Amino acid sequence: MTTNHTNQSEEENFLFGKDKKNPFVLPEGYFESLADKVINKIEVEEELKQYATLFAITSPQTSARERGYFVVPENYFIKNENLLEYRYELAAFNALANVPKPELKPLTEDYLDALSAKVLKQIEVADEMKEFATLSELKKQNVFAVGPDYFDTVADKVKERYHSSKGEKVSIVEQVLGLLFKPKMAFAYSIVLIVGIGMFFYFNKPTTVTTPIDSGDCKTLACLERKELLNEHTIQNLDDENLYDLVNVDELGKQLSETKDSIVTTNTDSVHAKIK
Amino acid sequence: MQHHTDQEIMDMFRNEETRNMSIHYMIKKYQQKLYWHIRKIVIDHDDTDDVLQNTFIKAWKGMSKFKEESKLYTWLYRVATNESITFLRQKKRANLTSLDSIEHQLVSTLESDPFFKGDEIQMKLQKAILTLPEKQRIVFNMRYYDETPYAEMSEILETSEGALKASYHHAAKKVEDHLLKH
Repeated sequence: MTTNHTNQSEEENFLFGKDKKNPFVLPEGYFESLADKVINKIEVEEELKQYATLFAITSPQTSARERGYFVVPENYFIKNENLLEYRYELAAFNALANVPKPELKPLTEDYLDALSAKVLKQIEVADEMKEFATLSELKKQNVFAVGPDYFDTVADKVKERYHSSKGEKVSIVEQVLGLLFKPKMAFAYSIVLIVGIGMFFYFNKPTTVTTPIDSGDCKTLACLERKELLNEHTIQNLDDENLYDLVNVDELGKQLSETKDSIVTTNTDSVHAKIK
Repeated sequence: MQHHTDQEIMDMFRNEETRNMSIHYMIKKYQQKLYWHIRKIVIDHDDTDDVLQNTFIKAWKGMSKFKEESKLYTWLYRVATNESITFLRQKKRANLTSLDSIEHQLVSTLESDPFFKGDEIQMKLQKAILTLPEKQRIVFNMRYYDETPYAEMSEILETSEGALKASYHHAAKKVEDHLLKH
């Protein structure tokens, strides 16, 4: 034993250096049982070699755990431990322990989708509200109320109103008037009216064809009016033939006869006055 | 109470014999959700009751035309929202001669409402919400109280998600400012 111990410490000195301790420890009696274990393993494998199929299934590389045919669900032992603890706790409460636990249905895919959408919406709303400190501090509540049983009566009220509106007979005249005086129709009428007035003025504008002679813009003698000629005293520059052209003979005759008559009447008037 | 699914309601509606029952189930299923949605817009209980009934009647009449491209409740919400807006506009038109604006009227309705159960701060919040323009108010209520997703809101209000987000942001800012100032 002493030799062994000396050998071991020498080995340790060689491996870890002088005055340095091995930081690892072994289970007690490990080295004592190691030889037996190895021999046992060799024996088992030797035995198995006689049965080729069995030996092939249980190859020496596979671990003891892998060689096991029976498996337990994952975390079985942890769960089991929890279950035992839970049962032990519940045992203290007899009444509670006897109440059958409800069977919870697994959540549907729709619910999970809706839930994630709901959570995302809440986050979005909360983010939006961050900017508005006062508003976000307020409690969101429905401040309006309704009388008792109000919602029980709505369906009946709607049906009643629907049937009464259906029963009302609208005369054809009313229907036509209703159609004619709709706001949309009024708008259409006003547009038609404006367009109509516009077209009326466009097609009925006075046909004042201004000839160059009428307007006197042709800058020739032919376009000059008599009055203009007289006003501008250009008459002196005209020869006799031009002057004759300017005179309206019939008009002149009339005027002369009128003046004659007036002279005669004035003379008779003055004679009568003298007699008186 | 277990409600029928939308598909069941629609199937019942297609059958002449069960049509009336389908309307009954539809009302039972959606009356509360729609009531609170309308109530937040028109404030007064009697007005809400009126608009709610009209909503269901419109839905009843239009159900045969309902293309099941959108969900039934999305469609009902759309009808309810449109009915509420129409109601407020009619009220506005009827009160043209009145010196009070419709918003002031809604505030006074709120103050005298026997079915209002909020405290002082809740009243302040409701008043702040009533200062918002019609559509912004609807967006704010749907998002703040009902936490309706923007995608769903977009279907109901027929507005893009981006516009709704911007609208909600503006509304929340206005409400916040109002709460701090008053």
